[in-house]
Amino acid sequence: MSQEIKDQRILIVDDALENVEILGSILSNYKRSVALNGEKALKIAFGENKPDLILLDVLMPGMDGFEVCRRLKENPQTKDIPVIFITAKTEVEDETKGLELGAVDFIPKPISPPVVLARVKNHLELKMARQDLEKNNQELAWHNKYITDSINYAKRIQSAILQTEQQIQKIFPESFYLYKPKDIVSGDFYWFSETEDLKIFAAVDCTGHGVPGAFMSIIGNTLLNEIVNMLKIKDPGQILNRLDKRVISELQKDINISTYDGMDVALGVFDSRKNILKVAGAYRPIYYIQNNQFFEIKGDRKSIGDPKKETSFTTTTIKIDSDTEVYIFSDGITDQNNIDEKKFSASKLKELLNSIHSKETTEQKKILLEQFEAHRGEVTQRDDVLLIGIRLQPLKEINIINYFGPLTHDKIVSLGEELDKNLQSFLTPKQIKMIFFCANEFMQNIYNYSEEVITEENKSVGVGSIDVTLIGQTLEIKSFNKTSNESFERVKDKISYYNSLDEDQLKALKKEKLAVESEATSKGGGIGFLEIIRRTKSPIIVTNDFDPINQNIIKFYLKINLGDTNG
Amino acid sequence: MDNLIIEKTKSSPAINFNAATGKCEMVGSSYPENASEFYTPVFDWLNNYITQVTRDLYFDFKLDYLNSSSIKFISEFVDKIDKYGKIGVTVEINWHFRDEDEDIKELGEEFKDEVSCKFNLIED
Repeated sequence: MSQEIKDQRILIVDDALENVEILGSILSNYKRSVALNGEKALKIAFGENKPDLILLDVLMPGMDGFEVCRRLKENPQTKDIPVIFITAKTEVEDETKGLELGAVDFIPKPISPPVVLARVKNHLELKMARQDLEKNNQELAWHNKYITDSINYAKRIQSAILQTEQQIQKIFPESFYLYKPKDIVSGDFYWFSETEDLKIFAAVDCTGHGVPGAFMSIIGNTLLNEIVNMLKIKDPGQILNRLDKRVISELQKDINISTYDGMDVALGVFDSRKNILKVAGAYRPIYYIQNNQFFEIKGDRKSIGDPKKETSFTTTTIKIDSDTEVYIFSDGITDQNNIDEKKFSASKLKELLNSIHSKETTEQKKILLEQFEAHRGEVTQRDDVLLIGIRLQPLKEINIINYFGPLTHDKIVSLGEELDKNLQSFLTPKQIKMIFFCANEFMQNIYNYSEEVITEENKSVGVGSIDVTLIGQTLEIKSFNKTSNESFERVKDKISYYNSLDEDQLKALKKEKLAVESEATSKGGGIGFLEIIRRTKSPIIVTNDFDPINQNIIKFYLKINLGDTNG
Repeated sequence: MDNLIIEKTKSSPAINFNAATGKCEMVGSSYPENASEFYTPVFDWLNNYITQVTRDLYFDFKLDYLNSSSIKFISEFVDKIDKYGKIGVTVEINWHFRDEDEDIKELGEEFKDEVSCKFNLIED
C-alpha cells in the first residue's frame, strides 16, 4: 500500500507562498498540485488531475476555505475527496463548522511536519480502504446478481418438474396445494401420479431449503417417478422403503457421519375403484377428516435417507366410504414463528383444518394462506411451506345393464333401451350413443359366435353375458361367452392387432374393409371390434377362462374413461 | 315397377323408395337381427331400378344409428348408387346427420370422399 500511497496526489491550497513551500517539502514523497486561492483550487479539483486529498487553508482573500470545501462537497465528482483544513484558527466553532461542511480533519498552524505526514497518510489510507470497499461491494453486487439469475433459472427448472394445479385437479378434481418456498427455489416439493385405478400423492420436505434443498428435491422427484411409475410399486410403505434405500445408495451414505441428507415424506395411494386410501409417513403425519371427525396417522419416526435406522415404513389403510378430506404437509407451516417467537403449531393447524374442511378447496387454500400470513406478520418465513389438501369421494358403482342368457334380437333391443334409459342422467347423448354402439356390437358378437346356442323360431341364438357398469368417470363393459380354442386365438390375435394401431391406421383399415367387394354377411361387417377401439380410443382386453366342465370361455373387457371422451 | 315400402322398427329403418319419381328415403336406426335378410329386398329393388327404370335417382339417408354390419351394407349400397350415376343419369345423395352426431357425420364424409356423384352432407 505504501507504494501506491506515493502515487496519490495532494492539492495544497494556501494564499501564503511560504506555507505552500513548507507543506510541499513535507509532502515531497507525494505528487502535489498547488493553488494560491480558492478559485484556482476548485479549477484543479474539477480538472483532469484530480487530487486524492486536499490540504485547505481557511483564511484566504476572496473565496475562503469553508466556501471551497462547501463547493467541493456539493459536487458528486469531488465530494469524496478528503479535505483537511490547515488553520491558525483553533476555536472550537471553526472546527465544528469545518467538520459540518465535510472536512475530515484539522491541522493547526504552526505546522508540525510529523503531524502533517501522519494525518495525510492516515486519511489517504482511509480513502483507499473506502475505495477498495466500494469496489468489493460492486463486485459482490455483481456476484449476487449472477447467482440470483442462476437460481431464478433453476427455479424455472424446478417449476417444470412440478405439476400445475390444473394438472393435479385432473387426478383429484377437488384438491389444492399451498406452496411457498422460503427462497427462490424450494426443498419442499409435491408429487402426483395416476396409474390405472390408483392415484398417488406425496408431500416431501428435503433437508435444507434454497439450492441444496432444491437439489435434493430433484433427486426425490426422480426416484418417486422411478419407484411408482416405472417399478410400479403401489404400497405406500413399500414406496418409502424403496425410496429410503435408493436415497442412501445414491448419496453414498457413510454410517459414521452424524448428519445426513434426506427427506421427510407423507404419501398416499388412493384406490378409486375399491375406495381405499393407503398412507405412510416418514417423520410426517397424515391428517384426515371423515364424518366430521379428525384423525391423525402419525407416520414412522424415521426420515428417508437416515442410514442409521433400519425400520421399514408402515402402511395404514383407510376406508373411504364417505367424503374424506386428507391433508399432508411439510413442517414449514407449523414451525413458523410469529413476532413473539410462538410457532403456528400443529394444534392450531388441526383446529383450523377442522373448521374449514367442508369448504370448497379454493376457499380452504385462501383461508390457510391468510392465517399463515397473519401469524407470520413481519417475521421472515422460516422454512419452505407446503400443504396439500385433497377431498376424496367414494365412487359408486352403478349397474347399467347386467344380463346372462340367450341374446335374442328382442333381448338385444330391450337391453339397448335399458342402457339408453339408465345412462340418460349421467352422460351426454353423444357418449350414450358411443356406449350403445359398443354394447350392441358385443351383444351381436355373442348372438353370432357363441358356442352355446339355443334355437328359437328356427334361428340359432348365442348365449352369453353382457355387463355395463358406470364407476365415477369410468364405464366398463364386460362380456363373455363360450368359444372354441381356435376361435379364441383368432379373435385374440385380431383384437391385439387392432389395439396396436393408432387412430389414423384404424381409420385406414376400416376404409379398406368397407371397400372390399364382398357381399356383406349377416354376421357383421368385420369392423365391429375395430370401430369400438377406434371410437372409444380404448383397447379391448381379451382373455379366456375355463368353466367347471372345461369349456373355453372368451372374455371381453373394455374400459372407457369418460373424462377423455369430449362432450 | 313397384315402390318399396318397409315400416320402421326399433332396430331397422323405414324404407320408402318411389319407382315413379326416383325419390328414395331411408329413415331411422339400423341394427336389424339379420342385416343380410333386411337389406336383400333393398338391394334387389335398386338392382331392378337400375336395369329396368334407368331414370334419375335421388336418395335421402336420414339414419341416426348404424351397427357395424349395417355400415358395411350401406357402404356397398352407396357404392352401387354411385356406379349407376356413371352411366349418364343424374344421381344425388343427401346424407343427413343431427347436430353433434359425429359418427354419422364422419361416415357421410368418408362416403363423400369415395363417390363421384353429387353427395350433400346436410345437418338437420
